[in-house]
Amino acid sequence: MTELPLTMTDAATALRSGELTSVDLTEACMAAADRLDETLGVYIARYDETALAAAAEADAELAAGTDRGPLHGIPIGIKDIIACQEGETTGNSVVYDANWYAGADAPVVARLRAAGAVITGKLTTMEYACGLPDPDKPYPIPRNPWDTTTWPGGSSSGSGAGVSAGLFLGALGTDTGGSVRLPAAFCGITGMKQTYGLVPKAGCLPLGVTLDHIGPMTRSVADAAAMLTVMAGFDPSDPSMPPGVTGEDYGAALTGDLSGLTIGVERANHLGRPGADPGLVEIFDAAVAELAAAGATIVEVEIPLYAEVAAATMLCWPVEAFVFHQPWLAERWEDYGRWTRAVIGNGALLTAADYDQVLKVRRLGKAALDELFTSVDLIVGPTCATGAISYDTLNWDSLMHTLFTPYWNSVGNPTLSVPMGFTAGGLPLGLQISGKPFADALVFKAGDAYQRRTGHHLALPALASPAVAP
Amino acid sequence: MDAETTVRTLFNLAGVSPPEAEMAAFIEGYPATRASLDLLYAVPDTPLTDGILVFRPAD
Amino acid sequence: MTGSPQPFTITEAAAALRAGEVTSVELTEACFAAADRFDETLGVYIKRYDDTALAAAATADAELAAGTDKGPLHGIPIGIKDIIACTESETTANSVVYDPDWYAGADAPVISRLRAAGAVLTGKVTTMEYAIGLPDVTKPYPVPRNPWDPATWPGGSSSGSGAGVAAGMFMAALGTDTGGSIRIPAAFCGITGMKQTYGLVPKAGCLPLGVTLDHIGPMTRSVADAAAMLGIMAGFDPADPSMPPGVAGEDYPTMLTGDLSGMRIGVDRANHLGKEGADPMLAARLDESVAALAEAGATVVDATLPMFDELTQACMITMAVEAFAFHRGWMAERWGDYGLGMRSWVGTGALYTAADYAQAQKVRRIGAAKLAELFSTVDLMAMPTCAAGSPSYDGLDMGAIVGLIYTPYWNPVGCPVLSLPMGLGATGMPLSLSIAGPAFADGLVLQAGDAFQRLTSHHRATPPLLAGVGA
Repeated sequence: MTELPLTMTDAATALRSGELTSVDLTEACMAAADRLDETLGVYIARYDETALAAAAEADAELAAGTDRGPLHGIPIGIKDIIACQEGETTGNSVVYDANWYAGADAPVVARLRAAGAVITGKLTTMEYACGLPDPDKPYPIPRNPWDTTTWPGGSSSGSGAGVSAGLFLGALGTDTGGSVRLPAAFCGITGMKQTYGLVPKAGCLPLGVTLDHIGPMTRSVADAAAMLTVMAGFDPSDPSMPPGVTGEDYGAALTGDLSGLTIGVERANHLGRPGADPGLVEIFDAAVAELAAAGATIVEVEIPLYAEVAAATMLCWPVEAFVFHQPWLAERWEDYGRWTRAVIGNGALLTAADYDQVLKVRRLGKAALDELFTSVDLIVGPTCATGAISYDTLNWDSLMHTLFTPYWNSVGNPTLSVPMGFTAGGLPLGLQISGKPFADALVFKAGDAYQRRTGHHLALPALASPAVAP
Repeated sequence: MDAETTVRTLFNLAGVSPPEAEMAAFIEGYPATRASLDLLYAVPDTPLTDGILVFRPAD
Repeated sequence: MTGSPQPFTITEAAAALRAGEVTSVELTEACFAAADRFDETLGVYIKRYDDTALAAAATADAELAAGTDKGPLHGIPIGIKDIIACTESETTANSVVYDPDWYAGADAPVISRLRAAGAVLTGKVTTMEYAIGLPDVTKPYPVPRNPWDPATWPGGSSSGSGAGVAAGMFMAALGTDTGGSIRIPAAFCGITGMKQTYGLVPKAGCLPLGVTLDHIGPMTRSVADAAAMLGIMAGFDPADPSMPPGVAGEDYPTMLTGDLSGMRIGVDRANHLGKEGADPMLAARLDESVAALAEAGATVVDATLPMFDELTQACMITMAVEAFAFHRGWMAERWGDYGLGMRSWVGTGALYTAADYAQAQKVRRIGAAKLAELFSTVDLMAMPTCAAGSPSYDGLDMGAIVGLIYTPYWNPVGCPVLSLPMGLGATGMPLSLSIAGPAFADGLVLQAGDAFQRLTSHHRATPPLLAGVGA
């Protein structure tokens, strides 16, 4: 047995050259989970048996010449707010309906399965994708593989920590205010919040229905592109999708050449925040230099209404979450985690006119952003102001203080987070790349060009190295 | 109306009853929520903009 | 004038214009003559555009004479509800509180389309203030009255549009409909009104009431006329974010075959009959109408609209919230400048929480899904538009109106609904039939309404006021 492949792309090659089987790969992932999950708190439910059966079937199919594409035989974990036929969906909560989508796959999971993916299990999330870990509740506390005294970010905490530590090669996360991109940044992996409405959300427990996205979390941009290719496209069960919307072969866009692209660098709203990591500016400048070296023209931009639109996101989803949870909150307030009820409860405090104003500001912000995107193809900034937050100082304020993600949910534009280096303390930092609506391929192209020139995304946390099978 | 009355009224209307310690936290946090909303109400030219919520009858 | 009778419908006028029997100038002058005669009583106009209208009519005549034919609206006098922007003057919304610079000197896209089709815009007509409330005699706007009985209300909010078409002050009008504001005045004034599918006609340049419920629609004397107007009004415009990208209208007039063979029409009596205060003739008129639809070839079955009360309430809550959100800034400063009816209704929008509003939107989604199921078993639905004819101004309040109307159900779901006369009630006032279809089945709805009007003459009845008025 040679060293295990780090990316889906490498694994796909190894599976087809006969160097590796899907069963080998899946067993190696399970071995990593056996070794690390007690520390990392990634899994809520492991689907070992069905995963191994799926892996064996994938091996048989590949051996017989049936090739389902780049995800065939690849172990993938699912955030436990998305329905899978193997088990119930808990939302990391004591308060849930065990019959919801029982025995059924969400459309996005069905697509992964049809593409040959091996579903390894259900992963830790912040409760209903918003509450910080509450030790009083019967769920694992997720920890960051780069420093287990720190939080891996969330709400797709298990997805981020698990990809980083090699418990699976890709995961589904969800992103309402940054819940794919934040754990991707904190865990040193790649996470994509594609254009709103491009991936069906039926079978996913909602947080803020007008802001929610299901997105891929992977080691590399090429892997995320491969996953999104499978995940994207219209499904009639999701009313938020534009009728007839289709994805594309995002892998085909990855040329490594950014010639002719104009990238706007957004420092005004992203740099200089009090408490930001001292290395942030230098690391961000180095990342921008790589994009320039890949051929892009770099210009400085300032996003209009940035603070207002970011505030709109954080005001909007508690309202939508409150509507969803109100009957349970009325009956079972204290069964929710203390952070969950504290943030969702705020949704009760807006009037209808307030909510309407939030939606109007989103419309205005989007119009202003569309205008800015007439002069640039992409916009880049850091994903967060700091590396992973220590559990000692983790609270809602410290979380809000580091995030640069919520702005992009209100406008719905595709936004990718890729690792761009490390703090002095050895914690990963993320670079955010955003594009016009449905310019997801261009966003991937820039992220991939960056990763062709850098190795940050291939760096492994010490506890996960060496990633070799027994 | 003071923050306490507002917050208690709104929770009462919503049919949700957080315990007192948590109610106090909501009351304490409410001015920040209103400040965020003030920021949004201060955005110019909003009266003739309709919201992001798009209604499509064919869905 | 040539001495032949004034054409009654747009369709007849179009033929007469092309046959040289009448000119657009003559049609327009006849309309202004009717306005001279009746407007003091009926309170239709806020502003007449006599000069520009006659100039446009002369242009239309010259174009037609030169062989340039812009289609069925070419040379036709049309009135505009004064919440829709026209280049000729400011848009007041029948209010003291408005921004004179809003869309100043510009046409709403729907107006541009009518104008490009050769329509003659005769002026701006009365609306309830910002399309809601009731006339407030303390405010400087005319009180609209029903040509069938000026002691009664013409319905609203498109009051001037309804009364003006019924009294021959223009051959058609634009109205808007957020909870029935086209269909109610069409019903009370004995004319035809269409609230087409939400998102089919661009709403930019129209002051909003409830943005997710508002529609601009045609008000005419016949279904064929409404089909001709909608054909011109419909289709995508990037200025209206509520339109599905690429949405297109159809050639509705060609869909009017008169033959309803193979069509299944559900009749909802359960939610529409037996209401307190209903006209005693209502059930009989509905039965006669249904029989006419059957005679045209349709299969008629009983059917019940799902979540009738819930969707009606969702409409009212959504409308109040969205209207309040629009007016909030002005209401904070100038409460008393709004009319009593408008401010007391829109003010209730302040009393809902965001969760209430979001819940109303959820109910819309659920209701629309259930209604879509019903429409998988029938092609169209038929029912009365209102429980009775036009109410007297004496004792009129919002409660009395809400008790009479069946229209708000359809706005939260966005389906096309046509309202057309089905004969007079016990008090001698017009009663109205509504025909509704699934989203974007506007052509089918118009086809059924036209087939009905081919077999009946209710839409040709005119108010007693007009008796003895020659062309």
